[in-house]
Amino acid sequence: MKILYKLLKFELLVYNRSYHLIRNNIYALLLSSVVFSIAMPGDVMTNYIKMLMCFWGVVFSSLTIPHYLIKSDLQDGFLETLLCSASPIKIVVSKYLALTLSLIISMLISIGFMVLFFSFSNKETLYLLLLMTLAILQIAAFILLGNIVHSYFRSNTNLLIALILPLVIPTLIIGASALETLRFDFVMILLGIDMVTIPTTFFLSSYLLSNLYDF
Amino acid sequence: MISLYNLSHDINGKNLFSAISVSIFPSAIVKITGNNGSGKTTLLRILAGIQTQKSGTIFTNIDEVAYIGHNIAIKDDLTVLEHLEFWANITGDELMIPAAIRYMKIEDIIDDYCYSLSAGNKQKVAITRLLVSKAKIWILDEVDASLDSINIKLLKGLIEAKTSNGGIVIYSSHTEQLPYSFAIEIG
Repeated sequence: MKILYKLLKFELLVYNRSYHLIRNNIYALLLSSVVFSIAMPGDVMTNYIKMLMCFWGVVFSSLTIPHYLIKSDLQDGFLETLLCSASPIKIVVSKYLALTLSLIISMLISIGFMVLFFSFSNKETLYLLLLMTLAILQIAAFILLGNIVHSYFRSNTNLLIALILPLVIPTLIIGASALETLRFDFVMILLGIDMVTIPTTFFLSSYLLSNLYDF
Repeated sequence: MISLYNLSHDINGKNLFSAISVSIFPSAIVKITGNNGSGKTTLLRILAGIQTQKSGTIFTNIDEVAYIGHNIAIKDDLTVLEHLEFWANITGDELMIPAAIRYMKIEDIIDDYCYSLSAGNKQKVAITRLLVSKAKIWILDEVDASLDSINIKLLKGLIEAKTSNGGIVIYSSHTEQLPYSFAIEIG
């Protein structure tokens, strides 16, 4: 656990010093909300549409995270040095947690602005927060898998990432239905999807990571 | 102790080395020699447990390995101290950092970001990482490439001190400046 904690602290430092993940994600999130609000005609701006804009904004801004986070570790030799001291699963989990935490922090900061701007009720805000957190848990897993696939395969990596990212489409659709009805069943469906995708991603990612140098 | 038995490896059908059998006992300094592309880095990675050999067996009773590869694992946006603290926490003890800094004479650059360091200083930071590690085995891949004669002497002293305490050092190098007990020629 100590190694996992130290790895997580280090990954958070690197992600936010080198790639400014939290800052850039807040910018992307606020920008996507503003663009959606300008694009939508005033008479269709119900609370459902506003919440949907915020939810999809979180999903789309998360997808702007670079896909070379692990590739850069591979190129500067950091990954091979780390593999001597930590197991692949610990590396994968620490990277996942660092990504998730960065996304959740940026979401929490942005949602404050959104609530002020769109005047959501407390119930709507809490529901939105719950859905966004569940979506982020899943998107972080896909981003991590995309990053490792980008490092593992030497060619056609952009195509492979383009095949992984559409996996968030069910979340977009279920999230939209959940916001329309504000029913708890959809939250449980999203939770179920998370419970299937996150462990699978961990398993796949750690397998690819442990075989990264076997070519 | 590390024991290699019939170790062979190839990449895409091109044979790199075959049937290497050798036992490396504590206090040994082993030099891996060979031409460019002969498989020195691959052999060192296999010994470090980063890569898997195509055939053969490695027996070892030591888990902890400190490895410095061609790319020396330096993140440009972090300071030297942040690097050392991280590696000390992962592989060794933070209390060893001040002594390691003094030995490697990097007091002046300790708060500098790594993007501002020369190649030689980056190499020194990577070597300092060995000093804060508790690993019994050091695996070094052309670690002397960017070092001047003064720092080569420091590295030589480090290798001798490590092996005099029962450690094992395995390295590859194209120069003859570092000591060794025996060499393994591949390719």
